[in-house]
Amino acid sequence: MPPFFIPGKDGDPMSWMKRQRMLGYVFIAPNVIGMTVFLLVPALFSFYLMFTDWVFSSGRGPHFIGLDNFRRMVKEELFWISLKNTLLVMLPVPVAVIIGFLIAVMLNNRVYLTKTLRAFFFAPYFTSGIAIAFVWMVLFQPSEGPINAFLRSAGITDPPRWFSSPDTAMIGMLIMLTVGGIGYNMIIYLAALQDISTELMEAARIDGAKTRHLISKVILPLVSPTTFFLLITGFVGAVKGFGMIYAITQGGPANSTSVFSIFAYKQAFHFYEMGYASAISWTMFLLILLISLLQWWGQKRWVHY
Amino acid sequence: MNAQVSRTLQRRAVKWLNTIIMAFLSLLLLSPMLWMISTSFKKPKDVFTYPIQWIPLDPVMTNHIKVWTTGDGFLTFYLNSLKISATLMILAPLLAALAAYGFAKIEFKGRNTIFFLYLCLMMIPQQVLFVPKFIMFDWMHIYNTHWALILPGLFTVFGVFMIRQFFLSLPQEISEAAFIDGAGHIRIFARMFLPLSKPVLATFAIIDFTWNWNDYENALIFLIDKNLYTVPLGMQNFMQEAGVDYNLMMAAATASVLPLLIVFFAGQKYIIQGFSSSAVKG
Amino acid sequence: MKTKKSFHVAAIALCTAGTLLLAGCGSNGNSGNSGTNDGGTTAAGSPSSAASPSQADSKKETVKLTMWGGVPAENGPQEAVDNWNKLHPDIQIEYVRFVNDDAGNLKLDTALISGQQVDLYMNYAYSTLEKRVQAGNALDLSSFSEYDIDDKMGSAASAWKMDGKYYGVPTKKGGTYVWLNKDMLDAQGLEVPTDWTLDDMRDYANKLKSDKVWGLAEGDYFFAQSINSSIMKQSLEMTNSDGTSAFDNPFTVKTFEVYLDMMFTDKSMMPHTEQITSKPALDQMFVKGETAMLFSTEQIFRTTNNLTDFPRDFKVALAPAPKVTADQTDYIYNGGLGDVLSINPKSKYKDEAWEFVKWYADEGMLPLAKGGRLPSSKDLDADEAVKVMFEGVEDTYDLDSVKRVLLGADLPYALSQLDAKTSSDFQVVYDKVFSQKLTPEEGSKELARIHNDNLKAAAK
Repeated sequence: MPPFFIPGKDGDPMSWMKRQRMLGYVFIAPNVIGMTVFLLVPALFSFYLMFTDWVFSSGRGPHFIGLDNFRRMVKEELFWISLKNTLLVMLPVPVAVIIGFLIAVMLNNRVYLTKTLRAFFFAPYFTSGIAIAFVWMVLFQPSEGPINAFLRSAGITDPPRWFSSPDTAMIGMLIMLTVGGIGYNMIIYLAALQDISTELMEAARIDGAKTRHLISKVILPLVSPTTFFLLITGFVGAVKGFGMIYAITQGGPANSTSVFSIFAYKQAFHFYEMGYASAISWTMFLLILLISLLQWWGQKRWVHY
Repeated sequence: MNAQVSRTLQRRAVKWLNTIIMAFLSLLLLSPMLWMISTSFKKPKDVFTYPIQWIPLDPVMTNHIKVWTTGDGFLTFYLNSLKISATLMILAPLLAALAAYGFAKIEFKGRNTIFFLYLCLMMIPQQVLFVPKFIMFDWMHIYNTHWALILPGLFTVFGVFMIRQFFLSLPQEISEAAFIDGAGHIRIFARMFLPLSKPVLATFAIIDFTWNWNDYENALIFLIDKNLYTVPLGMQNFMQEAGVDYNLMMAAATASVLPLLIVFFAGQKYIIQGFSSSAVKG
Repeated sequence: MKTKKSFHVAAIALCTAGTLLLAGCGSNGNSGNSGTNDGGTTAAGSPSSAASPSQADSKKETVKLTMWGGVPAENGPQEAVDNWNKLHPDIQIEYVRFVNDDAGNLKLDTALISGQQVDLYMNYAYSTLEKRVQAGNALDLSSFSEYDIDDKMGSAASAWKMDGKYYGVPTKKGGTYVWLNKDMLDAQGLEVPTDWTLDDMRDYANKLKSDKVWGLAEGDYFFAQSINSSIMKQSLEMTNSDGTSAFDNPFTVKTFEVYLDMMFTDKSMMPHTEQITSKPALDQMFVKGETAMLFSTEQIFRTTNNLTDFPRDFKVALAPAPKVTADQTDYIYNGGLGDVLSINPKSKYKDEAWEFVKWYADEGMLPLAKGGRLPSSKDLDADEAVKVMFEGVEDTYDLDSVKRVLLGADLPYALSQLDAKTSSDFQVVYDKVFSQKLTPEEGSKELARIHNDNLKAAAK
């Protein structure tokens, strides 16, 4: 530790405070530098690429083409489909956060077998993605799957064809993403709920607060930083993630489940069109940034630190 | 007196009802894992049957034996994965906590701007970064080494963000009191915040371990030598040219869940223990 | 934001620090490299330095070569490589398997570019080989003049030429066929077809289907084969003589109509969109008797030959792909040569690699026949390959029809060279036609429109 970080023995409180403040940079330095090297530098390279026609492994270098990639992009029907679907896949995020929260509250002290149930809810997080995709495929299988079997027994003669129809594939995805997000949100909330002292809860309860009030007036404000965190990372994950969708439909049928990340993945991994893929990806970045900015500015209204 | 008994009974009934609802829900979410495990004991011809055989009618051990005995050494892949994931599980949360404290508890100039820019890094899509990263790693001579996974894995936005939110939700008085007593940030961080943040550190450690353990694409692109392969790469062996050998793939997946479960149950203790019961309280 | 200026300074400082760390990690990484490769075999670039300098004496040094292929090692390649290694103690080959999908090919390409030791590798599609040739990652084989690829492999090999040169040796031949459950055919009194049409196939499927059995199953997007087959005669790029797309034609419409009828009127095959999203294992469906016919490639041998895991009590017969109409004269069957083995120009052992390529093509690949790979070299006796292919399971095939179709050289075969982008765009049209969003006529026009657009864009 360099000597100037040691609190001054001369008892100059101002310079000590100042040095303590400077320590902030030291605390964040390792991560900021690490991320700069391993993420920002490659990202800047890709930022430059979006103005080029570079095709990886084509034997020729990047050639500057200005905004041509963007002109090409907005002309593609797939771009607009992907934009619409990318906006759609954000819907499950708040729903899964709410359900995750309610389950966490339940699991915290309103059920028996807390430990077992907690493990059960988190287990999907460990399961191989292929297994998860497969089970959802089976659940939604139009002719023999259990969901449609149930719908038929409930009197619906012509149940939706789910992933097999361009009209309903996206609905199936939204259901899957909602359910899939619950366990994870729950476990994060559980960690946060541990910090709310039981005395506080008991005090509120003795004061005659109904459960509903207890949740909305005491618990919700206290976990609001966690909620903020889950929403931001949830939206980011929803826009960036594509594993499940890709595993089940590869963006089909007829591109009906294509999202930005699949659009970009195909350009980058299938066609090696790094310039074009970068343009798509940075558009996607812009979208996430916008949503995050809105939340960032909005947080003062409801996040209590 | 009677009223109180009936109220207790009522409360218990509600609690049991809740338990049953939750158990049902959790089973629904658990079904993929059950399928994974049951498939790992199935013969290939029993994998695709409708309705699903949740308990194999004709269970076999051959898949599990085959996974561990044939091919290029699943054990090597397993140890490689353990080495990478365990290293990161220990180091990444500590590094993240450090930055989280800086962002949450020290008021330096430009803090919020830097933090937001830092958050932005999380929003950069990955698909287009593989090739630039490959070029850079090749130049840094860490391509085709485990460093290509470990070094970038040390730094996370997610972890910093998560722990920062936790620090912010702690009562302001704790650190202020200590600060006025003349304790510097380093001491407050090491003596108070690290012990206090056990639940969130444990949670993040579990999540981080899971990520790295399951990371397929980075390992795929950045590791070439077979003896460096990780478990997800080893599972490629069960992808045939036309389709997947699900029974073998799921046997491998089941085997690969084991460390995750161990980490989870080890970490769960800290998650539950939490803040209120921790020693600092008194 | 009053701190803008100081932020700028900080940003610059960070960048500088980042660069410094970059350099630092570089050396870190180096030590890490040697550390993690302890006991490893192929630390980048080391084999030559380890082997070359000291041994100037008479003994030949052992060289180590790496071959990348998409076939799982245990399905033949390991046995082939082991055979070679026994014969050539001085040239040892290690087989590395990559998954032949987008990500797997990207892995191979990054390895090639970074100069990792990849001496030999397999190409499975014209478009991937083309990329590697353009990137300078495939050796021009013209200099090895003693081996005449055209003579060895036949005229079909020329489909893999680029600018009149070979950058790889095609080693297997194959096509797409209709595999039949002979017992089910017999039960309905149906003959094994030798020359048939889509309508015949629909008729067969309709007769063969039952409650638990589909009449026909086929690979995703296999209907495209009938469409392509009707066009390839005029141009492998699927264009008319004036350079416009040839997809809008009556054969395309007819193909759509027949398949739509099978999916939705007869219900004798699984609707296409249901198949691509529920991903049934088609060859397993076939051996389990869940479909009477299977339109697929030789790849199904892996399953049909495996009686331990997939016991079956019926005989497998084989028919060629159906024509679109009976009087169609320009029909070209889908098939040709594949498994193109290339040499990395950066390899230190090009001559040794070339020795292996010749050996592999002319005899070495025989162990892969079990998985359905028929060698294309004329040096390899077809009967011997067939023997390997059916060893121990001869009784479970209708060998007459299987041999007739697999080895019968009288049918015209070719592979379309439609560009990757158009192929990928077409899937959307096919999805729309088979989810009844487009009529067959509209679908046919849409294919042509997309193709023409892409042709125009490429010409720019």
